[in-house]
Parts: sequence; structure tokens; C-alpha cells
Amino acid sequence: LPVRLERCDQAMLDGADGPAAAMAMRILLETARILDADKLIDVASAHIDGCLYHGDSGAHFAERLVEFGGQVRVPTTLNVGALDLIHRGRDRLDAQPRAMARRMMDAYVALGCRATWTCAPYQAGHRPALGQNVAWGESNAVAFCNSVLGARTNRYGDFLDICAALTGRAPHTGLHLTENRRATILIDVTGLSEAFLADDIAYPILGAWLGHEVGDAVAAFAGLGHPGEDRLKALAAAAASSGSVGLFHVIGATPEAETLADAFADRPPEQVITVTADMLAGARAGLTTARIARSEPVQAVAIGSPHLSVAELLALDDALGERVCRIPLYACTGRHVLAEVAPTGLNERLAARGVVVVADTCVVVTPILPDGGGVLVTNSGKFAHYAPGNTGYDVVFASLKDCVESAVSGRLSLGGPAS
Amino acid sequence: MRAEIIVPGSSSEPVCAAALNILEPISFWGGISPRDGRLTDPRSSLHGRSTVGRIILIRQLRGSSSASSVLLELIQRQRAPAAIILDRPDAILALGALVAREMEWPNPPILRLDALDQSRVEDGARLTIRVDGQLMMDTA
Repeated sequence: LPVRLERCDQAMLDGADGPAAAMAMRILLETARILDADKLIDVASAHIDGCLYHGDSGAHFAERLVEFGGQVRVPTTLNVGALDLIHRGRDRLDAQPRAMARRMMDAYVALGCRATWTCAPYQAGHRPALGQNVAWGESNAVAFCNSVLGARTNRYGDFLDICAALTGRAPHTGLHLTENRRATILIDVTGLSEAFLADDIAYPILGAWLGHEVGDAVAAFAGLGHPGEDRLKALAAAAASSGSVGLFHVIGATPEAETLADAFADRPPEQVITVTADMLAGARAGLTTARIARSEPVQAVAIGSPHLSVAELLALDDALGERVCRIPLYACTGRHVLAEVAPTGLNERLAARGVVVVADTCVVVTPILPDGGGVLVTNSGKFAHYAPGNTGYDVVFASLKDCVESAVSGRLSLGGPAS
Repeated sequence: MRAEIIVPGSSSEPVCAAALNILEPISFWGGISPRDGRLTDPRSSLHGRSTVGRIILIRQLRGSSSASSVLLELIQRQRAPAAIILDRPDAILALGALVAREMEWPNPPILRLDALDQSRVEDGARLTIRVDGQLMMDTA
């Protein structure tokens, strides 16, 4: 069936809002056809992942939209770019790609997007309401937006995200539809120890396990309590990198799952999985690729995928105390966080102790880690997933405390497993 | 065999090229170099093989939001596959070809063919894909 056009769609297609909106509408309609969507719907906001430099072609596309007079029609935030615009000289890009990456970032700002440059826009003030349709890119942001905020988005790939922002429209399909948001799989974690669930490290592990286990199905956790935003953020990011999780529920904690009946829309679960510590041990082991033992030398530490919140940056400060890092500890965060903590002098204090604060980008999307590779220690499930392929570093997944101890000593610190 | 056309190619000529049969799940981002079109996953048995100018058959595409960026870059560098055959439609990969069309850069066709039918194509075999999606193996 063809996609049903409303009058506003047809007008945009005919050029009423200029050539950029017309081009975006053509791309949007072709995509809606491939997705079998019946129509387009309004979106209230957008988050753009397509601003990351993968080569000159993406910059040329963005500049074409600028040339055509494109302006976003809804509030739009930007995900990370390839450059840290706050701390110059962080990246090791050659002059040509650096210049093109900069042109690409500038083009997206010229289209009217906010220069947020963060993969945690939901902690930078971009918080759509429960039930609102939006068009977001970046897998962790999508999973958080759907699961924790209860706003509705599919995973908008590069280029479709900006087309939705320029038209304020998106294909009516997938997670925009109420019937696709109910859970089908019940994940019972009541058998896990309280000590384990009280530790931050549980959440990237649970996420990595979830992504492997359910792929893109919608699952609901029972027995997880109220984990708090930063832990849900870590869980969502890990689940969206090990699998294609776009939405999960936490019964009693997330907005579409006040009760089990709400999460499953009054239907019985199609599958019930009772999680054991043994099941998670495999997921945890899968987050480490380096074959090294405790106390062996490591070359770098990275935290902050998704970007650190203020609370997470303060937790780093606490764990480090007055000590100085012997190897670089990269702390990736957003400029919104740096602005908030600036009056306290935290930025300078961390820098003086060997912490390399990275803003606007992160260490797995652009060359920042020292050339030559080695072993990277991280507490992020997402960094653990992508670092080996993108940076050439092997990874060890460890708690924040062990990340900090490893950075201070230059040797792998591994406390006893919390589970 | 006839493949379903997801995005037509920009050429009105049939596509004639050698098949590259990718059996393992593959992600365009992190799986294919946007610079030279080589397969980059060290865990894959096809590691280092080139996709440039080949008809690539993909049994299982692993989703990545940046697959569209990688395909667009390959197209602009004239390092794209001659055609891409998937086991099911993928909107994000298709976007790379849709944007190329808007930029007036020649794009390869993206087609759909069941994994079962894909398995009838031998790796390295010469194939012809007509503009209507009809797929023929050169038996010579």
C-alpha cells in the first residue's frame, strides 16, 4: 500500500517549504515505503546522530541541506561529533579529515540544531514527555528515551534523523505504535543477590546480557527495584550495543510499567527468564577481550559512554581523591556537565590529577587514545563492546573503583566480583 | 530467480559482476571500511576481502545506525558494491542509496532475496541482475 500523504506532506514535497524540506520529505517517504508505514506522523523533537564524521560524503550532504536553506522545524539536539571543540588538540585526526569533520559539525548547527554534542541529551535538558512521538538517533539515547522517559521513537539512522527534524515528520511504524511497546518477555531478577544489584557494575552486565538474549524484543524486568537514571542509562547503552534493544521496561520503575499487567498490556508473557548469577557470568566475561592477569600493566582507562552525568563525574573525583593518575584516564562527558561543574573548579582539579576530560566526542568514535594500542580498562558496557573494533585496544571491563585504581597504579586492579 | 527491488540502481543497464557470498552476520559500520570497501572484522573468515564492484549477498545484516553513512561514503568514493542483496529489507542501509540518489551520485541497486535462494549462488560466480530484479547465473 502506498504511504498516505497529508496536505502538509504534499506541500513540502512540492517545495512549499523550500528545497531542503522537499529533499528531506522525498527521503522520508521512500523510507516509509520500505518500512511499510501507512502514513507519516508529527514528531515533537529530534536528536541527530548523523553529525559524526565517517568521511567527506556526510559533510557534503549536510552542506547541501544548508545550501538549500534547510532549518529544523522541531527542537533538535546533536549527538557527538568527531572533535572536542572545548579542549583543542584532543584528537589525532589528520588536518584534512579534521577540517571536514568541523565543516560537518558547523553545517548541522547552521541547520538550527543545538550544539549539545552529547550522547546523553536526556541529561542535557532534552526530555520529551511520556507518550510523545520524537525522532531520535544513537542507540543508547533511543533506548533511554523509549524506556526511561516513555517517549516514542524508532532508531533513526544517519540522514533519516535530520530529514525528520527538517520536516517534523516520521514514518508511522515500530515503537511509535502502542501495540509494539508492550513487553513479551519477563526477566525475573529476584534470584540475584542484593549486594550485586546494589553495585553499579550490575547494570552494564545486565544490559549486555539482555541485548544478547532478546535481540530487539521488548522485555520487562521484575525485581530490579528503582535503579536510578544513571544505572538505567548504563543498562540501556549496553543492551543497545550487544543487541538491538530499543525499549525495555522495569516493573515499578519505568513509566509504562507501573505494574506487570501494564508492562504486558494485560496479556501473559510469551517467555519468562529467571536470571541467575551463572547466566550473567558469561555476559560479564564477554565484556573483556584482553588476556591479562591482575597487576599486569595496562595503557589507558576510559569512562563515560554514555557521557558522564554530574553525579558520575563527582563519583570519579571521590574515587580518585588526591592521587594522580600514572596512565591517562579519559573521562568523556558533555559540555552541559562541564558548564554545570565549572564554578566548583572540578575541571581543573581533575586535569591536575591526570584525568583527561573529553567533551563533545568520545574515545571510541575518533582517534584520541595513544597510538599503538594496548589494554584499555573501562566500566562502560558500550566502550567494552566497541573499543576493540574501533580503537585496536583490547579491553578489560571493571568497576569504577578498579578503573581508578588501575589508572593510579598503571596496573590492572580487579577487586573480587560483586556477584 | 527474481529479487525484490528495495532501491533501484541509478543505471538502466543490467548489473554484471562476481558474487561475494557473506554468510556470517555483518554490520556495515565496523564491518566494511568506508575508505576502501574491504571487510574489516578480524573474526570473519572473509576478513580482508574486497566488496568493491561485487554483487554482495548478505544473509544477515546486523543493524547499525551508521550503515547509511558507510554506504554513502563508499558510493562517493566509487568503491561501492555493484549490487547489494539482503535477506530482508533494511531501511537504514537503504538510506545510503537514497541520499546518494539525491546527491546525484550513481548508486547500486539494493535488493531482497531469501537466504535459501541466496544459498544457490556460489561465491565468486558471475551474476547478471536485470533492472526488474531478475537474477541470472552465468554458467559458462
